[in-house]
Formats: sequence, structure tokens, C-alpha cells
Amino acid sequence: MNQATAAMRRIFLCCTVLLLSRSDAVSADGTTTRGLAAQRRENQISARIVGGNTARSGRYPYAQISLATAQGLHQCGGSLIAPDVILTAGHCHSFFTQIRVNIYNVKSETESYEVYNAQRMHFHPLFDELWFRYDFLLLKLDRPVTVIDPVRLNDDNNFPTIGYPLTVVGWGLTDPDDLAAYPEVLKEVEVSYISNEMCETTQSKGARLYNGYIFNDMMCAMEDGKDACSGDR
Amino acid sequence: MPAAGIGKFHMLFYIRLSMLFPCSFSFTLFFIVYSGAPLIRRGSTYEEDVVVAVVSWGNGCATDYPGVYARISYQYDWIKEVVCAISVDPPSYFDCIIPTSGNINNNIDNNHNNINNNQNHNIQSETVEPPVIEDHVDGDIEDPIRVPGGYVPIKVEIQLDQRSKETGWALVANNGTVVEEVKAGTYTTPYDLVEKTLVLPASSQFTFVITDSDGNGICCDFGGGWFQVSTLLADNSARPLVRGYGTFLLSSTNVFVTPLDNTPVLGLKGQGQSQLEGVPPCTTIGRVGNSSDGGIPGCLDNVLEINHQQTSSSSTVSTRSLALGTSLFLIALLR
Repeated sequence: MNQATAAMRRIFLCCTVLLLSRSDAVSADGTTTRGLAAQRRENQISARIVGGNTARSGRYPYAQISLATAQGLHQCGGSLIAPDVILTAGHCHSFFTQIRVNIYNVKSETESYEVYNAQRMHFHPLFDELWFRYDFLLLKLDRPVTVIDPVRLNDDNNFPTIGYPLTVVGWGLTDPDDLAAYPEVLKEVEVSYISNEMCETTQSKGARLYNGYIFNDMMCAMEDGKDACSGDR
Repeated sequence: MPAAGIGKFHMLFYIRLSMLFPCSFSFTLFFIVYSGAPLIRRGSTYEEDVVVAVVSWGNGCATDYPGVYARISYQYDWIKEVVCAISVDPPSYFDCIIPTSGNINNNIDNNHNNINNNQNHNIQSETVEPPVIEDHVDGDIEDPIRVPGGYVPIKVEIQLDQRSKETGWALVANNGTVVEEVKAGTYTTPYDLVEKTLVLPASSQFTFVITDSDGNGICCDFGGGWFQVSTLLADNSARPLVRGYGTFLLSSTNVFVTPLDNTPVLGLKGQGQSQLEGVPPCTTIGRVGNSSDGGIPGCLDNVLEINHQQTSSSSTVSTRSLALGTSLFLIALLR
């Protein structure tokens, strides 16, 4: 009897979770775009900032890497850290099927680039997708890249210091209301390093959303002179 | 209109983030396509650039929140270790030392993930036929340690995927008794290689059921998992009875027969041996197996004994299949 009740409860839970996740997925597919767009406007997300400035082709060759779907849609960036190893984020692991190297315009059909495949994926052993901890993934390529040079990694725990200017290089979104509107060419965004303590206690509208979510394996940076969302004001 | 630039899994990631911070759905807009991109310390030329972090996540829904990155410096040693192990030509600044032992490679191998999904799905070998257990002739195998009372050691190995918590398994005797059950949620370490050695009656038929609570198997969307049930040889190597890639959906059911009691290859050394202590002798030799083929002689009662000793679970197969059937039905319905 007890067992039957437990089983029923499990089935009910399972059912609820499935239903919930399905309804989310429907939204995710964009069928309720109007509601989401309204929500976005409410949150006053600016279309201007997210894009950053256009980076000169060849200035960041090691970052001219696009992890793309079979159809060629850009999904994640990465950096070449050895001729046959790319460093990217752990949570990018299932979003792509091909690696486009030495690419600058991710939307152009006439763009020339080299296509590589990942032979193996090496996650950080402590990678936790739910909490985004140790969000590292190393991709072993099927052959070495010869057209671009790998980049060095920072091994200095005392760097960066607070306020140090850093640069994000990638293909970020240009219009948050349109998820397809990521830029064509590589962008660079200037940001400044802040401490994890500052990051965790960031307060906005009386809420500290990051409280309890920032760990040592993470670091934070703010856009210079403005936050990531307030460009319209 | 579907979001053309964002893949299905990005959307799931997105939903998960918005659940974590229930402020808005538009949570990671900035980061969603920047993800994986480098955060760099600019030099005067690209040769002087240094990658400091990897774009990870951030709150796009409210103002004033910084971007969050995966910090490289604290994990530099891990990155170096992997690069040195896998790269054919690691850059000199990694100071790779040619490994003297296979340790690094072994660790890496445990973590292996073939991400070519199409290729893996094309293999379509949900279960590999268990090899025929031939009459073994004593050859190069050392004098095996025999298991008293007609038992054989059986090793279950599972290479988990990233979503290790979704994986569970059960070993069921032919009479429906659950010999061992590991429920979903038990394995908390992603990509772990888990092992369990059980002592089972020889010449008996068992069913090994592996389950994934989310219905996506243990391969290949979240890593390349696999499973194997094998008998242990005297040299502590394993001879597979059941083997499969993790390409099943909700579950994969595999029937195998434990080797004959007099098979000289059976023996156990090392860590598994302690499990043999306290195993009761086989008092009743029964017949297990299909009635149509007459069944196979086996030690039925002792399955129950082992059950009491090794698992506190009282779940029955019927409950499990009911739950499984219902889930399948629900999934079919929701699609």
C-alpha cells in the first residue's frame, strides 16, 4: 500500500515536472514571443551595449573561433590555447557540431574559414552545470590548426587587480529582443575587473540576485562606465 | 517565430538560468552567444594577449549586474595537465613534461566524450550481444581464487554522463527478485566511472536494467557514457557479459547468464574479495530461467540472501515497470 502511494506520488511528480518543462520549452521555441518581448521591454534591456565595438580582423586571431550548429549558426565562442586544443565554456558542450576556425563574419555565406571537429571533450572534473561552477571545457581537435597561433593563459592568481581593464572578444547579441540578431563580425567589449565580494553583493532595485552564487572558480567584470543593461538611459 | 540563432540546448540552459534567478526569462541575453568567448588582458599585439577567463553567465534581466566568468588562474594546473596530455604539440610556455606514467592519460580516458553525436547515434548498438561463454581451457590464467558455494563475482561498470544523477540501475534475478538497485540521484559526480562488484550464483540468468530518469540515456548529448557487466578473471581483468553504449532513452534491459560454477576463469583478487566474506553457502540448487527452455540450474534462494544483505530496497519489478510504462506513456503523450 505504502509502495503504491509512493509510486503514485512519483508518477504525479514526474508528470508535473514534465508538463512544466514542456510549457517552458514551448515558450523557449518562441511561440509566445509577444509575452516575452513585453517582459524584456519591462526590464529595459538595451540593444546598444551588448554588441560592443567591431574588432579588427586579425587582432584576436585565437578568438576567431565559432562553435556552430550543423547549419552554421554560431553558438559559442572559444580560444585556441594549443594547436589542437580549444578552451570554451563547459555549458557549451552540446550546442555545436562543428568548429569554425579563423572566421570573422559568422553570417556571411562567402566567408572563408576552416572546419574542425572535436575528437574529445574534456570537462573540468568539478564542472557543475546547474550552478555554473568550473565552467570549463577543453576540446581536442581532430587535427592541429596551422593558420592561427594559440594564446597564453593567465596563471597569476593575483591578477587581475580591481578595476583592471579587460576585453571580451566574441560575437555577442546586438538586439536582445531578437535572439537571431547576433552580429556578423567579431566584437570587442571593454570591461573592468571587480572582486568577487563586490560582485556577490551587487545590489539593484533592493535585490542582491548574485548573493550566494559567486564562487572562487568564477570572476566578475563590469562594463566600463555603465552596466550591461543601462545603455538606453 | 523560433529563435533562429539559438539552439535547443541553449534554450534549456536559458530556462535553467531563469529558474535560478527568477527575475526574467531574458536573463542571459548578453552572455548567451558570448558564452565560451575569452576575457582577455590586452597586450599591444595579439602575441602579448593573455586569456584571463571564459564568458560563463550573467544577469541580463536587471540593471547593474556584472558579467560572470570562469576564472582561469585557479584552474591553470588542470588546463595545463590536460593540454600536455592531449595536445600533439603543446606550446612551450605550458612547460609540459613528458609523462612518465600513464596516470594522466588514464584520467583523461575516464572522461572521454566523443561529441560527434551523429556518429554515435549511427552506431546504434544499444546492447552488444554478450559473448558466448565457451568452456574455458586453463591456459595462461593463473590458479583462480574460487568462490565458495557456487558463486561468481560480477562487476557492474557504468561510465556516467554529465547528468549523472539521472542514471540508475537494477540487477534482477529471473524470479523477479531485485538483487541490487541504485536509484536515480545516487550518483552525484558527473562523468564518474562507477563500479560495483556483486557476488551472484553461478549459471543463473539475470536481467540488468539501466535507466535514465530524463529519458536521454547516458550518451551522447551530455557525454559519452556506456555500461558493462562482466565476470572477473583471476588477473582481475573483466570479461564482458553485457555491454552497451548509452544511447538508450529511458532504459535498456539486458539479459545475461552468469558463468558456470566450474569455469576455471572465475576468481577474484584484490578489493572485490572482501565482498565474498559472509556470503552464505548455496543450500538450495534450483532451476532458474525460462520454463520453455527448461531453465538453468542456479542457486535461487541465495539470491534472496544477497538481496537482504546488499540492498535495503524493497521495490518490486512490477512497480518499476509500472512507473516506467507510465513515464513512456506520458512522454509519448506530451510529444
